[in-house]
Amino acid sequence: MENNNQEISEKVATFRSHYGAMMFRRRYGEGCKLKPVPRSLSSSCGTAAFFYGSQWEEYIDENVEGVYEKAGDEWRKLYGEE
Amino acid sequence: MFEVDCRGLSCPEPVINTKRALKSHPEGVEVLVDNRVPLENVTRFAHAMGYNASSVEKEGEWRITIKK
Amino acid sequence: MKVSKEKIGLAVTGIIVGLSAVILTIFGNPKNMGFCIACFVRDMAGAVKLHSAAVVQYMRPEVIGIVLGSFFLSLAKGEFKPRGGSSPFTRFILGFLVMIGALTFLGCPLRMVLRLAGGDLNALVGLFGFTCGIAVGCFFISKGFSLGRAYKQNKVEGIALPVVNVVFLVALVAFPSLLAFSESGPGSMHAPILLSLIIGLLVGGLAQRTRLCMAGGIRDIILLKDWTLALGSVMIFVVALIGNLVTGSFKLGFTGQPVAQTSHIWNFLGMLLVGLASVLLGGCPLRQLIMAGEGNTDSAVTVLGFFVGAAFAHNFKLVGNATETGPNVYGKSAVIIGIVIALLIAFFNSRIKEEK
Repeated sequence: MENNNQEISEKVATFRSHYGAMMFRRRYGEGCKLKPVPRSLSSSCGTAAFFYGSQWEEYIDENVEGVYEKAGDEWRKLYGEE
Repeated sequence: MFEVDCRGLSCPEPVINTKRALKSHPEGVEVLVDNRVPLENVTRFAHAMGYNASSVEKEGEWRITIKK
Repeated sequence: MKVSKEKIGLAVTGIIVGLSAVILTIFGNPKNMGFCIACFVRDMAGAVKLHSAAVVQYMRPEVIGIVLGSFFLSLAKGEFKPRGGSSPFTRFILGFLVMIGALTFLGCPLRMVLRLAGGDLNALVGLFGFTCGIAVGCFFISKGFSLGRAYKQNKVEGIALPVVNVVFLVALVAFPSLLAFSESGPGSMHAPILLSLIIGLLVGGLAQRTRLCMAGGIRDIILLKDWTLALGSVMIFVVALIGNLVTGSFKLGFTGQPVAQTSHIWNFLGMLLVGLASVLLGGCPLRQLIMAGEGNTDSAVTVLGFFVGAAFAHNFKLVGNATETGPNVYGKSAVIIGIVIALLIAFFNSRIKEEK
């Protein structure tokens, strides 16, 4: 059964440590790229994981600080505390 | 729309084929992939080139529509 | 390739920092020392008499400006976030070690870039050491090194360091008799207070907006193959180089360089310690000042480590007068011990055991 044609948006996950980013990438698979956290998202420097897939919840662990989706020039929060 | 069949191909062929296809069909193309990795890489490439991407999934295969 | 806003911001910031460094040198700062976070914090430690090395005592308005510039801008943009509690004492030690390494080389990473732009080839040796130290730090990071997460703190905790800097400024301007002022040597060479302060505020604000960091620039290349932060450092170098050529202060070579020493081994090892400890701390000394201005009390504690490290270094004659040939036996021992301590901190905060 075909799903409806869905716009693919870029998503980014932020972490408490570079190690958390590395482990996320290991769980998610090759399609995920590690790059510095976008400035518009945070004033701290750190490693973020960029990906496009829509099934990411299963890869979340306690090292993940937040997950955001690109909406125009900004990032929309999909998951995270506070 | 021009179709690029990348099923069964491994990295970096899907991205290269997409790049070539977009050169001759800049208005947009449809790319077929059967694996999540090329889904990510092709989409990433499309966005970097300033295109939008949307996809439909059917039985483990994705049809990615790339257009402005 | 699209040039991102981030890259543009870093390039512009690099240009302004490079220009500012040349301007400050023209107006009185020591040669190749428009900025030096390590030397300046050491000078401030002297000003409040934490040490008594007479040639390096001056309350540097640049550092005050940088902290406050970051503070005001982070407030304005809603990015002031008091947080802390991520292994603060370990960070104090690492900050202490950064200062030991930096004073051995006679410069922080930012001054290293400025010295390179002045033709000081000792800084090239330092750059090799710095890069090696960062690479070692990156190795531990990829093995899971972390000092733990920081937790939200209340506002009073977050503004404490900025307030301390205001107190320092008031002392400098209104109660100078409380402070020590060098009458000769590098501590006596300084630009006018207002110029230093305003430039510090500007640089602090820009560095906060762009996350400028010498160590981060190299770290991101190694870990993530990303050049964005490094672009800032490169622009500082390019602009300062042009400025030095134009003003005739470029002098290529190892000997006779202002406030420098020529021992290759100790320039290398000193900056290796700085690079390693900076990566473990999450940023070079400039970045620590910026983060402290944003309310990061872990960085404030690191800055405290800088102060105390500088005081120790001079009180125990680890660095003493800048003899051209390099550190004495105490200074050399301090660097070696410092590297060992940093490696132990790195090892015991990584997950090397778990992976086996």
